[in-house]
Amino acid sequence: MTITIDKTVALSTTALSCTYDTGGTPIHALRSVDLTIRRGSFTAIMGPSGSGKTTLMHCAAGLQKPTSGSVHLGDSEVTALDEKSLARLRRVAIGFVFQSFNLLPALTVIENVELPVRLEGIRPDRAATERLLARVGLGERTSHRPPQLSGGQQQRVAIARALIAEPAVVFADEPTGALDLRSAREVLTLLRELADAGQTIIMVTHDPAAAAYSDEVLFLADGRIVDRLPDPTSRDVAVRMSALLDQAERANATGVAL
Amino acid sequence: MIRLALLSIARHRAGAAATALVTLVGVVLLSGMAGVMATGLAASTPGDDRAFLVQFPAILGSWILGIVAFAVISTVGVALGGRTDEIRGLRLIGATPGQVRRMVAIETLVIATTAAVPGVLLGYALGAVIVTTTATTGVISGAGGFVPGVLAPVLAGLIVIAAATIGAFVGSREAANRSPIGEPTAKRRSQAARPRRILAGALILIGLASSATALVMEPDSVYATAATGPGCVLVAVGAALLATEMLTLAERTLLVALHRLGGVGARLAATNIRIAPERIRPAVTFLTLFVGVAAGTLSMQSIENQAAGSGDGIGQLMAAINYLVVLLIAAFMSIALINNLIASIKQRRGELAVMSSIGATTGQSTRMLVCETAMATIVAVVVGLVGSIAAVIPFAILKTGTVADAVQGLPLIAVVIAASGIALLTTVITGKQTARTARAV
Ligand SMILES: Nc1ncnc2c1ncn2[C@@H]1O[C@H](COP(=O)(O)OP(=O)(O)OP(=O)(O)O)[C@@H](O)[C@H]1O
Ligand SMILES: [Mg+2]
Repeated sequence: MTITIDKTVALSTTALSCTYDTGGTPIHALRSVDLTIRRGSFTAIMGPSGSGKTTLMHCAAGLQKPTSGSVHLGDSEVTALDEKSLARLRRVAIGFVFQSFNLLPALTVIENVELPVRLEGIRPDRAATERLLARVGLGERTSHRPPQLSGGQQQRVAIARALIAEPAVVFADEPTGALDLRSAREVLTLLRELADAGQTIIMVTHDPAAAAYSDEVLFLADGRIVDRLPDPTSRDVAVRMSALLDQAERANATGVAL
Repeated sequence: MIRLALLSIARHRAGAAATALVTLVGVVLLSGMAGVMATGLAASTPGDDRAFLVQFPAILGSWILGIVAFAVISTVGVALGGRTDEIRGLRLIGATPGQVRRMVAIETLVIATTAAVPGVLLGYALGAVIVTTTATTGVISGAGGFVPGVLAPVLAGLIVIAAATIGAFVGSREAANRSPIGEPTAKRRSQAARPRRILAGALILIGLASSATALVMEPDSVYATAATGPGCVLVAVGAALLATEMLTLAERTLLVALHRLGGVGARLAATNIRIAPERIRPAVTFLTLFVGVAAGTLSMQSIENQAAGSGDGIGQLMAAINYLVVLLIAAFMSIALINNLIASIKQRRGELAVMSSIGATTGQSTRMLVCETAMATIVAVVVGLVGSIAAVIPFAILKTGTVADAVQGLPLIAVVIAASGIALLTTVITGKQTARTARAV
């Protein structure tokens, strides 16, 4: 197989499978997922609980080794990297935003944001960091510490940190899961603006309203991509999701796998 | 990175205090020994005093160094257990395991350096006490006085700082290598276990071999003690390294008994030990060391007394040194044990809060913790006693001619009471306090 590097593709997976062996029946969290994420696109991943969303994201980001298949990010094959190169990849090519903000409480906002750069062994450009914080709406709070900020503000710090290295892809796993409606809207608007400015974003979410901010929604069920919805509205997303859930319930009731 | 390390110290004061205390005691002991040795080497010291003043601290000093490194490795490991989220976050944004370990090493370097300053000063005092007391027993003339100089005690301080820093680097290996998204898989865990098991087996064998050399010595030779003492320590360290395996074994055999006891606390304790043996493992490690070393050395002394009655100068001196060693190592291990018990109980505040929110009383929660510690104590006492008795058998044969004399009732009982007393008391006090204040938020 030859791999041609397409400059318009930010991330791609080929026959990505992940099976958990827990002693009993193996759980197929991902079944041969082929995925291509365009550069500068904002993709939402939805699906019933346990459908494999988090597993897909972890495998795509190199946080977890898939059972088989491969992941290409830019010009590196994520699935072939060792632990040290993976850590470097996370510093320079990938940004993470999680439901729990994962900020270090001892560091100030600006120090938290600059930490990946420092870990890379580079002296951060203070002015650039300040511009970035202004862009996420925290220009005034640079010297505060995370516990002094609201949830929405903390999440925006995490987003700034994810962006500091100008990563190829930002992964967000339920970034609004712990936020109230208003903070969630602020965070999603920010992500949308970033995508419009050319940042590739992949977001896992349970919320149709959140998914509506994306360019395209991928629906995952039982480890497979079963549907996609371009230019989603929250109504369309909600309709498809409830159809998927009905399907999953019927499959459970009759004992037939999807 | 350095700033992050400094901030971490301020943030994790309890862990820092534990490391500081362990290194402080280590520096006091080692710089004390260094002062004695420097006295032995000093030009003003009479020639007859030299052999003792050099050999005694050399033997004791190397034990102390090994134990300091061991204690720091365990203490750092426990402290990092409470920082899983922080380390996971760091790894997630791209810190390599090496960077995390270097951060922990820098933290420890700063803590150890701070603790070393008062440590060296107290070390001078300890050295002076050792030289003057030895002089009063007549083993050395003491005519040269105590002349430690500056170089040797300071050098000892630096060695302990280096040992602690390296110990932190080693002790943080497991925590730093953990996957940023979850638990290590079972396979990886057993892979990590193999070198440890091999090391433990080797230490036990070397220790028993060291003890066995006593058989070819003259009964009144001082070297029998010199060979058996380190033998006891090595066997104890080897056994302590096997704490995980011992716990698994004990959980399988004692589980039935715990279930029959009936209480929900006992049941939970059994489950906890089965699911997460690593939480109670440090306690078993330190208790095993405490019991092994203390029981071994006190038994040797008791056998010596039985064989020689109250002896001459040399006998008295050996007795004094032996008791000193036991006292120091036991003190060291109790500090490490208490620190680790407190740290690991406090780390479980969240779990205790959940129990309280579903209606567990403070008493029930405390009983669960006490049962776990009791299990750890039983394991450590059995393993420590068996190890120390095995290590002392050659010595008993040499001194009294009977194998049975390796079992010295009184010292063994005293050690068991001390060990279980410290462990259980710490657990009851900390457990009660933590369970009472842990409320669901
Ligand atoms: N470490 C693991 N060991 C065993 N099975 C696992 C593990 N992690 C996930 N699974 C299983 O794999 C499947 C997919 O899990 P995953 O976490 O990817 O789902 P998800 O779509 O993110 O669900 P949710 O929406 O609830 O977060 C589930 O059936 C889950 O039980
Ligand atoms: Mg998930």
